[in-house]
Amino acid sequence: MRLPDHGGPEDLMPGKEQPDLLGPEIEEFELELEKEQIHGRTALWSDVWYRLRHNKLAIVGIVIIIVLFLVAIFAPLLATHDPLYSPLYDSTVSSAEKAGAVKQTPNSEHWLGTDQLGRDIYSRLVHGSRVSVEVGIVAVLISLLIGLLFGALAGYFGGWGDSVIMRSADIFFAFPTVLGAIVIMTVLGPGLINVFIAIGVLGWATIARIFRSSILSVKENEYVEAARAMGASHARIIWKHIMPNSIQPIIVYATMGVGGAILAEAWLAFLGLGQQLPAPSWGNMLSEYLVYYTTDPWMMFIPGTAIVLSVLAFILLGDGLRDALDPRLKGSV
Amino acid sequence: MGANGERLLEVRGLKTYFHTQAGVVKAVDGVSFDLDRGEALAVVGESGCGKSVTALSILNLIPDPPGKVEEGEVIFEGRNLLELSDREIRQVRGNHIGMIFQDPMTSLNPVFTIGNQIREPIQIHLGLSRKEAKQRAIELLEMVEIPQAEKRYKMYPHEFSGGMRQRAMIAMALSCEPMMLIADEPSTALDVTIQAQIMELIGRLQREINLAVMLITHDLGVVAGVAEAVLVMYAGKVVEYADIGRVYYNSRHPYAWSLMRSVPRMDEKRERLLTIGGSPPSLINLPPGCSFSPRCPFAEEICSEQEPPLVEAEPGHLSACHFARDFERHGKGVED
Amino acid sequence: MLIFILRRLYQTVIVVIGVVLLLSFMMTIIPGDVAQMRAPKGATEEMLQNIREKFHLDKPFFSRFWIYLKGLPTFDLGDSFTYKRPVMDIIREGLPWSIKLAIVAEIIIIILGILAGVISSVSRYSFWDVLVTITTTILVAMPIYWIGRLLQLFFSQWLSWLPAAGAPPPGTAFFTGLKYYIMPAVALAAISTAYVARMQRSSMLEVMRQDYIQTARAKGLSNRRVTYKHGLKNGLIPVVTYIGIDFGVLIGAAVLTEIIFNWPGIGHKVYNAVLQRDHTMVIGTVFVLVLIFVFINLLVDISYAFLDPRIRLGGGQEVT
Repeated sequence: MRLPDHGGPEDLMPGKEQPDLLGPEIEEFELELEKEQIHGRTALWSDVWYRLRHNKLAIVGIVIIIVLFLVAIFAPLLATHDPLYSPLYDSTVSSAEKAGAVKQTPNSEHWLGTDQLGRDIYSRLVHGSRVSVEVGIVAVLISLLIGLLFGALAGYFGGWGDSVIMRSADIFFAFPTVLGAIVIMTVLGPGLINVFIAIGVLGWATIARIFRSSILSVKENEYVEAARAMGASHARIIWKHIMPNSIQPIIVYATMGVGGAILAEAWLAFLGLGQQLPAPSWGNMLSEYLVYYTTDPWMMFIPGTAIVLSVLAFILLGDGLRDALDPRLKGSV
Repeated sequence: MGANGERLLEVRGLKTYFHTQAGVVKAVDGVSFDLDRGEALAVVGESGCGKSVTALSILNLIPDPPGKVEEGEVIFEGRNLLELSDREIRQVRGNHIGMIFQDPMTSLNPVFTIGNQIREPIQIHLGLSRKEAKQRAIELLEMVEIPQAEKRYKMYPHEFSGGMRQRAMIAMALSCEPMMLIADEPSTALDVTIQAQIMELIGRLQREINLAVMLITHDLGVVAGVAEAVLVMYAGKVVEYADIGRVYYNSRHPYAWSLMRSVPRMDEKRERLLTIGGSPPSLINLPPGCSFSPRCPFAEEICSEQEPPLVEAEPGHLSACHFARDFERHGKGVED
Repeated sequence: MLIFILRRLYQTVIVVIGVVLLLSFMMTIIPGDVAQMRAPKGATEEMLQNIREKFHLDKPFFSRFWIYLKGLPTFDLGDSFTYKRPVMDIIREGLPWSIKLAIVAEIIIIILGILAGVISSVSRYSFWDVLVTITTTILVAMPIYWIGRLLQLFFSQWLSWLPAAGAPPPGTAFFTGLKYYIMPAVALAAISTAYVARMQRSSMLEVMRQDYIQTARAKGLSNRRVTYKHGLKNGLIPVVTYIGIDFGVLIGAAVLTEIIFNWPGIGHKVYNAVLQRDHTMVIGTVFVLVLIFVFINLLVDISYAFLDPRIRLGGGQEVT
């Protein structure tokens, strides 16, 4: 779930343990307080939503994401053709018709044209959206599950468990995402389920790291001390007191991670490791159509644009969330 | 209020606003005061009253956007600093007016040596060679009582303690022999003992090199030894302005009066310290009438209706309170 | 400084040991009958048995684990099934090509990324800033191999300026040869450049808000000096570490780029192995690439320490 293809946005994230450029933090005095009066700093959810609503780019992201989800949910209704039907393999179609059926440019019958096997690109695109949404959600959930669990254990309890978990995370960080995915996929074999696993497993380390560091910063707060003094269980303290205060950077990261997973599906398909043909996925379509870039370059722009738009949408929403959650950073990133 | 000295700085009707999404923040709203050569003026007020913004406005250091000096004059040695070109104001900054900030931990650049940072203004403003500038920087470090100056010169800020960093800041601010030093909460971020040392140092330098000092603080305790005049600010405005004795012992404004009474004193027996209830008002949405009225223990009807003008309560003593002229009687009446 | 380097070395050693164990484990747990996968169709049981013996598939889990593990420190990575040769030999052939391409790409990333980031932070909200922001945001969302194809489409197919794919043939003159590098290097660098530019921009903006920048202004320094002396040196620190982390991205991207441009590097070789499910080749190659990545990261962290006196002089901040 690191944004595959390109490391990840973790380094632009508020939760990242960055070397402290300011030295030990001291109470901030007057000018800072004046700034606070000017900017405001609370992160109540209503405030977050308010700020998000006023961020045009984030709204663009949200709209695209809603459309994407709707298309994925209602794919069978929206599709105009069977996404797998190819006239080339249809014995009722004459060979003259077969020749005319492939690589049609967009027309009234085939809204986005037909591909090299004469299949309806629009219907394949609509059905393919399901794969992207599934990969995005499932992979991120897997990363979250593992990452939050280990991050909480490491950050909350510390000690040798912390060392073991964080050193394991270091080992995972040593694998560039593409290589990690290639190894896992070669071992497990190609297929969509294994894509979920590979991308999900590779993302845990970043989540664990972010969550651990934000737990560390929340843990010492007085209200946590107070809860502990009153005999609250560890699970309760983590869930009730630490989680709500540490979850913000995770939310931002996970949002961007969905985009990353969509992208990962694409390049895994390109490596022949993703959703198996002939089932449609955007990654499959893009890598199939890339072949025809000299003769029919328009074809690759269809799945390509779909991928870029959806990934972009999650990045924009993630950016917007980060600004909304931490207004001090607003406008700076 | 320095009636006899030679006038160095005149601030007239200064207004600095911040234009934010939530509205216009009137951080400084019509502030006027004077500073003579060699005089020390304390600007006092709670956090967010606009005292730091006033200081930054003098040197035209307000980040624009969102801040902007809307109105007013800052006459320094006969020139209005607000009208100077970029190049001209740069020759005033660090050269004629030095400035130090509240947090020495963050005010020095972590990636350059102390020496490098002190040398910089010397080379730029005085045109000294690197070698000469180094010599001068080491002298400055000695002047601010940093031991082993030669060795310290080569060190990085993180190798200095907070007090030492503030001394280095002072050395840097004074490197071009400015006529005026603006000290923005110079001791706030430091330990109490170090605070006293830093204030002592500033006081000594002020006397020795006839430096005019504008000392910004929210802590009246530190003012006493150094300042001659006091300017009390509240919600972007001047509420009381007089020499220090008058403000301390004969305050004519309930805010300043409460501030004085919230400072522990050795010379008076008092059962408990006064605290000022409530918090400073939002600068976007000021209360009608006197900004202090919602928190004022003596407020009457007129206070929330009319804004009190800044008037001369007695000769050389300005106060912005409806009852400034008979404050004592009024205050006592309410208190009893 | 010494403590910092030692701690970082220790960390690296732990990571390398972990990687070795993890990869050996992966090598051993492959589900299904590997011999069947590797044998030609219709292979006899005898042939399958031969393959099993050759690749130690007949041995129990722990001895297979051990056989592979003990080869790694000496770079004995086993024989590739696809290429019928030792994996290390194939890597040796491909690696120089990959490294040459990566160097060109890294130069593009550093120069262009930092430049674009600084320019857009200095003139915030200007035309350039908006242009840089939009371009980098879109690039970050693009599948890298598609970027490669688009470059081929424009510069080779339509404009015929550059060779569509492949490495310079032996004996090509330097400048002619350089032409072959341009597109793959640009494609490889594109996404990282976008990240570095974004990072540099936000890092600069963050730095320019710091108190010491105000101090510098109050000293009467020119904007140029404030930005490029006091700002840039601080603003570069996080970006330099990022470039180290980013090298991993570059390695991953290299695999995809080399495929698109038919570049004779290690990534291209690994692709063929992936298609054949040639585990020995894939895991061996990944092992070498991960080692390179870890080593580069170590170098970058040490150079980072030189940039930041707080670490160089034993300020003792841990960089993770």
